[in-house]
Amino acid sequence: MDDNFTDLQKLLRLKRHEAPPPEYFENFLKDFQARQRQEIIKVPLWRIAWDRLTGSFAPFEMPRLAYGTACAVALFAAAITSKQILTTTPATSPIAKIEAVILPKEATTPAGFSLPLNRSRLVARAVPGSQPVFFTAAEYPGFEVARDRMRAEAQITGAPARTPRYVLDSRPVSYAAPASF
Amino acid sequence: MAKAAEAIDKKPSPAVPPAATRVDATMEKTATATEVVEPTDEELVARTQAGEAVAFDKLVIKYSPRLYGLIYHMTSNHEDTNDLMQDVFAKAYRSMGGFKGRSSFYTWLHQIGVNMTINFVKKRGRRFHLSLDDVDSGIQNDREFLELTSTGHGDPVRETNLSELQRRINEAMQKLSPDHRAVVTMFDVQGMPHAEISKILGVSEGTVRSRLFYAHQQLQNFLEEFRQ
Repeated sequence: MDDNFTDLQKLLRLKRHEAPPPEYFENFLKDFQARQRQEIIKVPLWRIAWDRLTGSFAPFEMPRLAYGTACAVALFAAAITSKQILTTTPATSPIAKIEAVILPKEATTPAGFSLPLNRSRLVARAVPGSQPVFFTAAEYPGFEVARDRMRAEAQITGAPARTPRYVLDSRPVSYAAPASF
Repeated sequence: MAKAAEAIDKKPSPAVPPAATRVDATMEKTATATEVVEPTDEELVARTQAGEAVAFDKLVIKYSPRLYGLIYHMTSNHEDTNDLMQDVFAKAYRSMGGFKGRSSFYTWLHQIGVNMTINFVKKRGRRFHLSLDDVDSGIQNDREFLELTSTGHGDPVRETNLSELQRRINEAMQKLSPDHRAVVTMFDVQGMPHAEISKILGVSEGTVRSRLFYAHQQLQNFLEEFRQ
């Protein structure tokens, strides 16, 4: 071989004569189609969906990084939203303070009563400016317990302490229709 | 050195047209003879993008021989070539929606083929075995082969049987790095011009030339013992 690679190049060009049998290319298309059909069956749904998604965006000339950026933004938004959903009420709110002080002590139904503690009423009662909420006897099993609870509420919320009272009927006696004989 | 670089700048052989040119010439001749107007690549690509799978089949038929040559001469293994061909066409079909026609389909397909083959060869590393195709009988009439086998007394090529020559050349090719092997395959074996190779590989023509020169030096060293 001389220095200018002429003979080497001639040798390399002989490789063109290396070729598969003639029927190879005739069968290749059939093999390719068969393999494509098999792959379609095996392709997972997420891959098909991804291909369709990228294919649908293709006409808009989007840069390659746009897909990644869009996915990152979507994931970030989902993370923020889920965090807000999962986060409980801030511990600084009056309702949280009441829950922290009172509920652990009275979280269970008092002995002798079947009704559970009405948490929603308790919370509504504690919010300043809300409509007065009356409790049933089952929720306040005893006057002392009710008194203690109301004092705790008043101490935390800053609202004036109120005396607990029982309401035996949904309609006060003074509003009852006068008896007429 | 300058002389060698000058030799590289030249086309592979003016007497023997590049493989791609020969295929095109044959196709033109056939089309003229039968007066059948074959659809262009652009038409076939557009039809494929519109969902006509048969159009892609025509592209597969048209380009599988050239793609086979590209991959086979880089891997020196028929089975690996077959698998890679399937993968390359499958990937091309999946990516057809993103093909904008900025380059020819031929260039685009070769880009996919070269990249996938280089990745495969790098992953395969040194664990490979040759699985060579038979040399066709046409080589006996190849002018260059006759020149090589008739020059000088005691020429090693003439004294060695053809299969041994084929094995040694392929072994030497496999000693090159994948990037250098790709350049040699496209320029020396397939007869592509520097500009086309630079488009396919995404490098400058200067890089293509320097890779070629280095690869030729390496091959010459590898085959030196064969010459003695």
